[in-house]
Amino acid sequence: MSSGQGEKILHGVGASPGIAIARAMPLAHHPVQVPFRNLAEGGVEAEVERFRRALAATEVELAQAKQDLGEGLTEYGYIIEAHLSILKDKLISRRVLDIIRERAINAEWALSLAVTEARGVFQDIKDEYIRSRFVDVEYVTDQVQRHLSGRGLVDLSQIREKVIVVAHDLSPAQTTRMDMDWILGFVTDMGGPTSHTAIVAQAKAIPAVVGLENVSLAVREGDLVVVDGSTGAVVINPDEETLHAYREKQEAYELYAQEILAEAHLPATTADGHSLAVGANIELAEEASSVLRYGAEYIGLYRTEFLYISRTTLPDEDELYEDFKSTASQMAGRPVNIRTLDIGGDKFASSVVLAPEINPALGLRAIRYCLKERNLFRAQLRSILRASAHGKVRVLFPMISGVGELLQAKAMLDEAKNDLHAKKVEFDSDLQVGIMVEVPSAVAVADLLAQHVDFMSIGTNDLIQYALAIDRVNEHVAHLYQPLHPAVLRMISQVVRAGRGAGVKVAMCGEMAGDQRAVPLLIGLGLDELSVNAQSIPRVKQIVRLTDRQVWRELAAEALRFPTASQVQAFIDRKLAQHFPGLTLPRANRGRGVV
Amino acid sequence: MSEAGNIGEAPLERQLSVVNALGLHARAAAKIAELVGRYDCQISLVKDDCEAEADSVLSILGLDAPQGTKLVARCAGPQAGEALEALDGLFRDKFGEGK
Repeated sequence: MSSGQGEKILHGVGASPGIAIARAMPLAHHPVQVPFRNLAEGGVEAEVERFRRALAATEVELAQAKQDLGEGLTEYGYIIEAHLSILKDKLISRRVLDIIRERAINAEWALSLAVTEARGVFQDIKDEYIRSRFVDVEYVTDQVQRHLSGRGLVDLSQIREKVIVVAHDLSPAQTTRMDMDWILGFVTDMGGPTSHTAIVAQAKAIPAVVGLENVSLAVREGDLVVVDGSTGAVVINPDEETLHAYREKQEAYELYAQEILAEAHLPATTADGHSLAVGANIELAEEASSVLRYGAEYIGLYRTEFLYISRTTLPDEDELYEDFKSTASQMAGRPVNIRTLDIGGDKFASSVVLAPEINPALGLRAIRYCLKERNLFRAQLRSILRASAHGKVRVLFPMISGVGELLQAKAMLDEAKNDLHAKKVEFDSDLQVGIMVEVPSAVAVADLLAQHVDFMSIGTNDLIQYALAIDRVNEHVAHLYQPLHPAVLRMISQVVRAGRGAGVKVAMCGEMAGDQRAVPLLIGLGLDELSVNAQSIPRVKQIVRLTDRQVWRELAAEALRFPTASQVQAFIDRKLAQHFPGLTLPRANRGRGVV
Repeated sequence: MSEAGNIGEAPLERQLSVVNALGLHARAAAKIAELVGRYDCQISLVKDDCEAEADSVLSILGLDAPQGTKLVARCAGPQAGEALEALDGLFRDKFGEGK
């Protein structure tokens, strides 16, 4: 291995593939050290003035950031408005002035005292969402601290040097203000493969490694950092030899990415003539045009939660309709699977009030929430139906755990259809209905569910979480989140067989569907459709084209016989390296084997 | 600034109910703070044994008041009456959220 003295290697979760090499730009979540000073006699008013100037400078910056929000990000303006109101809040601004005057201490120390007091107010709030928004208070007051310390702007929208962002965690407010042209990669302490950072990185096709636990402490500003988003490795201050190896690997990866993109618009057909539909997962209507560039044949999963997040009022039926209609029209007749609201679990929307739960992943979320909040659900169903007049729209119900729930949801859909019909509103009367198979009980009764639907889509992120009892965002157990666990493979196989039996197509739309090691197995297990993040489409299609379906069938049959995830993984890696060395090319140079 | 009004008198009080679906979330709290700032008076919002200063968004959020919460607004100052009237209207109007 390496003989470098300064080189340090950390391993986390590869959240977005590719290799980035650049200087580190650490985002201090908290000022490293807040200085304490007693003010000199008569120095109070000057200190008050200094604090006011820092407030004013922060306000100017926030207002500027709000103005600079690009198209499509206007929703985030709300977050910045919230930051402005926190900045002006008397619990912060006036309280700091009081402390400076009463105790004759410096502004930095007074501010940190005021924040501690405000934290006390927030600590007891039962509403988890509001309580979690204390990060906004910290963010804003950190900005004021920065101005007080006289440090220059670490505003990421102002970076003019290519960097790798190193942070404890990244919030949507931070990432939306980043100028992505200058950011080559992300590394964070927190997060799993489906965290916010991971989603942003994948959407922007920037390599990212998350769940590193303490990378933000290990890296200093200006350190050279290598991010390998494919293996989850992060190298700090690599020695010459390592750097050279990674530069070669980076070149190979980029070449490979270009090659497969050139063929992305072609269908994904195995050498023996079996086609697999490869689609895209999206979160915003605006993504529809870009997924077509990556060769998406349809939209396998439109997550509608973003329409509800970052706002305090619910979108109404017309607003939803316009959004869905725009997505459907952009896809020009290609299917668009619109998933009804999947709020709860790890996704919270500020416009939806959820009671605090001890165990949100097992609580009132997704279809359960919708069947309870009927008006909200009705607005979704009606808008989806109305949009179906403008393209091939299909509805996808999340978190279905059994036939009873499915029939209830379908009854509400029928109700919405009858109502629209009576009002002579146009919609596709043959609108196809699908379900997400992501709860283990749905796998057990997949044959019964299949009789009532037009398609089924396996949501691996949740299915793995529920089947293995692993919280995917908990950094302490994230390593046990194993897509290749024999239990998961058996479940997938069972759903495919249930679909076959009922003549219903079975898709997969979780992260697993885009994992290059899993794809051969998924083809072999008999999935009809794979829906992945757009950037993964060219690679998935290329894997499909490699050989006969029969080869993958044999691979899958053999893989199912191994008792542990690591054995399955080792077996697949061995087989692929033997027969298709080109497939693992972005990782092959280092000869790392199983990571 | 006027020193008159009801200084020395008992502060005015009014019962308020949180009827909007979202409860006192950030945007509603911001509207309250903004309204209170327009009047020459001090208002506090009381829920059980918690008291919040109505001109501070953070303080209001700390009340933790979802839909259905009953609050008492306590108001002192020259424009106390008008301010309470306006505040009452804002709560009844569901902070313009329509739900």
